[in-house]
Order: sequence, then C-alpha cells, then structure tokens
Amino acid sequence: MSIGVFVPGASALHRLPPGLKLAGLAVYAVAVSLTDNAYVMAALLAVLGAAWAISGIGMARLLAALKPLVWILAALFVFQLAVSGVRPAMDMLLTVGAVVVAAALVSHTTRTDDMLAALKTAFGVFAPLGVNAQSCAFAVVFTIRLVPFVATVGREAIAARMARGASGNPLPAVVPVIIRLMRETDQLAEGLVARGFGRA
Amino acid sequence: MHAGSAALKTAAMPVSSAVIDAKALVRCALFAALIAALGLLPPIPVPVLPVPVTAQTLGVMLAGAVLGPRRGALAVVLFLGVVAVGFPLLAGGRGGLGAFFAPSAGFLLGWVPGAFVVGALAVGATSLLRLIAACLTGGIGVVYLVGIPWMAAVADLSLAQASVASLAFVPGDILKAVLAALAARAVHRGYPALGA
Amino acid sequence: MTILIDNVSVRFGDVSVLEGLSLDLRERRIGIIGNNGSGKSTLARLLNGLVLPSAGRVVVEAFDTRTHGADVRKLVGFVFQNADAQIVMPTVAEDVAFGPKAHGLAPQDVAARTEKVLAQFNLAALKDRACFNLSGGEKQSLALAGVLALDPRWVVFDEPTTMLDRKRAKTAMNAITALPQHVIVVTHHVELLEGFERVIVLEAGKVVCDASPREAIAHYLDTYI
Repeated sequence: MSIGVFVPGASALHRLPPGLKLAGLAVYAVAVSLTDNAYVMAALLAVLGAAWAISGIGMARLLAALKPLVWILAALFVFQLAVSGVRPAMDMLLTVGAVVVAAALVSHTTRTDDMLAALKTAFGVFAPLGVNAQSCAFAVVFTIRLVPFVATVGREAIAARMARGASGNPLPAVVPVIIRLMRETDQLAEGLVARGFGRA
Repeated sequence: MHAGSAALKTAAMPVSSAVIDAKALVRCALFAALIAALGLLPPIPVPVLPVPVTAQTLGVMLAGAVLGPRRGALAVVLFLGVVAVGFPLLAGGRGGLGAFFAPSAGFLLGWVPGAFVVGALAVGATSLLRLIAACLTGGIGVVYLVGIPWMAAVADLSLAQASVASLAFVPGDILKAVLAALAARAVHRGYPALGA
Repeated sequence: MTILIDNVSVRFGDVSVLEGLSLDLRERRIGIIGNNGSGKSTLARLLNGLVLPSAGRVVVEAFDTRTHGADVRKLVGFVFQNADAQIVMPTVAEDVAFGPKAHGLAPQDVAARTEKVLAQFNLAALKDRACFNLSGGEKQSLALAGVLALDPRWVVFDEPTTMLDRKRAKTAMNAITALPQHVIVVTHHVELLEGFERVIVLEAGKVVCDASPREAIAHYLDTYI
C-alpha cells in the first residue's frame, strides 16, 4: 500500500537539508498566495522553473502530481471565470499550480528517512511538553503516504459501484471504503510493532 | 463458543499496548489522509462567497465520530499541519501557510475543536439521532463559532454580515452531518473499536 | 533456544480463542496447521507478543512477552500473510532499514545490515525503487528481508503461501526452508510441511495432534477430508 514519491538523484536539490526544503516550501506557498504583482509572480515562477531544472525530475512526474487536481481545478477555473473574469481565474490556476509543483519537488527530492529525521528534530522542541517526537514525525509521514492510497481505494469503490449499475454518487461507498482502509491500516500498525516500532 | 469474524477477534483480544498505540497513530494519519482525499471530490462553489463547499468537513466530522474526541482532533491537527508545510491538500489544491490567512481560515481552525466536540458527544452513542446531534453541534456549531468571527475580522464584515454570508453553507453542512452520522454508525457496527 | 507456552488461554468476553495451551517449542522447523478459526493465527501472534495471553504466560528465552515485548520482538521475527501490510516505508532500502533503526541500532550497523540483507535477497539493484511498484514476488522478498535485517533467532510465518499460486508457493517455501533461523510456519497447506521436524494441529483453540509431519498431516486430512 505504499507510494514511493522519492525519485533518486544527486542534484543540488536532493542534497539540500530536508528541514530547509520544508521551510522553503512554506515560505514559497505564502509568497505565491499573497502576491498581487505580476512581476513578483513571474519571478516566483522563474525560481520554481529553475528548481525543477536543477532537480532533474522528468516532466511526466510533475504532470502526474497535478493529475488528481485536474477536475477540481477545471471546475474552480470555470467558476472563477464566470464570477470574476479571466484575470482572477488565471491567477488561481497559477497559484495553485505553483504550490502543487513546489510541493511535488520537495517530496520527489527528499527521502522519507531524511524527512522523518528533520520532523523528529522539529518536534523535539516540544518534547518537554510530553510530545513524542518520533510518533509525531511518523504520523506526518504516514499521512502524506496514505493520501494516494485513500484516493485509490475510493476510486476503486466508486468504479465498482458504477460497474454494478449504481450511480456515480460516491457517498454510499464511504462506509465500505472506511472499513477497508481501517482494516489495512490496522495490519500496517501490527507490521510496525512486529518490526520494533514503539518500544513497549 | 467460537469466534466467527477474524476482524472482531484481533481487535477485541488482549493485544499488546504497543499494537494499540500503533493502531491509534496510524488511524489518526488515515483520517487526516481521508480529509485530504475528500478534497479531491469536485467542490460546489457558492457565488459571492470566498469559501467553496467541500466534502472535507464530512471527513472532519467522521474523524471525531469514529476516532473519538482526542484522536479525532489530532487527526485534524495532523491534516492542517501537513497543509501548513505546503502540501496542497485543501479542496481546490490549496496548501501552505497562505491558506491560514484567508478569510475562510477560521473555518479550518474551527475543525480542530469541532472534531473534538463531535467525538465527545458521540462517545458511546448508539442512536442515530444522538450521532446526528453530535455532528451538527461539533461540525457546524463549533466550526461556525470560530469561522464566523474570523471571517468578520479578516474580511472587515460585521458579525451579522458574516453570519448571513455563512448561511449559504448550512444546508450542505446539515446534509454532511447526517451522512457522517450514518457512516459513523455503520463503521461502529462493522468494525470494532480500538483495543476493546 | 526455547519458546515456552505455559497453560495459555486467550479469550474475549465469553469467547475462547485458545484454551489451556501448553507447548515447548525448540525444534528448528515447526509447522502449525488448522482450519480457519482454529486459533492458529492467534497462536502465531502470541509468539512475538502482538497478542498477549488472557491467562498463562509465553516466555521466549528468558523474556516474558507481557513484560518484555520489545526484547521478544527482537528475537522473534514475524512475516505477515500480506506483504503489503508490513512494508512501511516508501523505498526498498528505507524499508529494510526500518526495523534495525526502530530497535535503536547505530547508523553504521543499520547501513551494514541493510546492505547485507539487500544483497542476500537480490534486492540491491532495486534499493531506491518505490515498494509500491515492486512485483508480488519482489514484495515478498522485501517483507522477508525486512524481518531478517533484525537478525532474529526465530522467524514466524503467518500463512506465507495462502495468497500465492502453486509455483510461487513452492518458491516461497524453498526460501523458508533454506533459512538458518528457527522457523515456525502457520498454514493450511499441509503439503508444504513435509520436511519439518514437528507439526502441531489446532482445532477450536486446542491442540489435537502434536507429532511428526507424517502423523500430524494424516490426522488433519483424516479429520477434514
């Protein structure tokens, strides 16, 4: 059930400390969403393009990262176009696209192990408050890892319902999907413990 | 007498506390991921309002109703944390700290106490009505209690104006609360609770 | 080298999964067979402390599973039926390294063990590959590699062949019998246990036969076929 997002490579982007990449992503996302200035936006996009060129990640993988969003973006674009006009609609597309690509670059050039280590250091700050940094770091990594899995299971369930002649309405599929997901993640939890996770 | 269902067996047996902890952790991550995945369903944009109606609040109510108050709220915190770092997991592909400065951000932050209250009211609830009441109170009442003043402050509206603007979401949210309650009841029946 | 099961019962509510089980496991190759619901999967999980006894105790070497779970799991590796369930990290090498890291080994030891096991299972060339994209056979190798990276003394297999076709089941079983570790295999594919030293038949939570493979398998087949 795992999804590997890391693409091996030796680029400068791969070698950057993961903490720095995550912080950079946060700053970049804020900058892109807050700017109204076309020149600033162009500069931000140029930075993104340069980062992509350095990373050596193929175009196909970037498009794959954008693919799950195609429909929702199309819907929002049409809505913005109708309500606010061309310019805001384009703005929305560029902003969302830039953040998605930036996030994809970070996850594609960062080993999960390194990401975990960075998160553990970050959560370590809260250790005096009784926060278990290791568990928090794993929770974050599992969340990122489980999103595509949940989406896949959901899509399969919808497709299965449609194959049996039910409508495309996904909501009746929610319960079997949740139960299947919980069963599989419970197995994963057992697997984690069997291999030494949580020293109890 | 002998055990029939394998699932029932594993969860209800005296399992190691390490297993229970790991299951809790992975379930929080699962519901955080579920909230994210629900954001991939097409939203219904409402004219005039800067907040599209999404299925993500359904995930928030489910997290509370299925995982309970503490873990439900944790799942939401986890989701928002991953969004804050920049992963574009909000409906419409939004992500990053920027999302927390928008007029609608109060509704996002309201999800945390919202999921907690849903969970607190849903603990031990078997009747559908009680579950629906829990989802309505936490998923709508508490979320709006945070979201509306926030929107008023950020978008420079009066509380009354912000409330009126939010009315547009109420029908959709009621529908989601009912769905969340139905789904939570079915999940409770079809799958054993953690470490029982 | 002993796993001692001392008068163990596992129950929940008024349902009993295992009842008054006492076994002394020291052989190098042990098979456990039984039908669905016989309690064999629960017995497997008792051996590394994933499931704890409601009454009685399970002792691995000197460690009681109730009080020394982490130590027990270092000694007793567990290979699940579904390889996907125990692949926890996104790439092959990271996944193999997961166990040694979780047990707190020093980074250079983690790296050394990972490399050794990857080479042993012909996974070295795949080390940066996404686990998600591996073939079924590769995933099974990875699952086993991840467990052996912990350098356990026992390896427990929970229905290792149930999800495989006959040919792959044979290959998997050959890999299992070639292991230098003590091996305990839970299965209902009785033909796989022919070369084993001891086979235990479970039925409704009780041991109904504990003997040589020939005798135990005959007992099992007589009863059910």
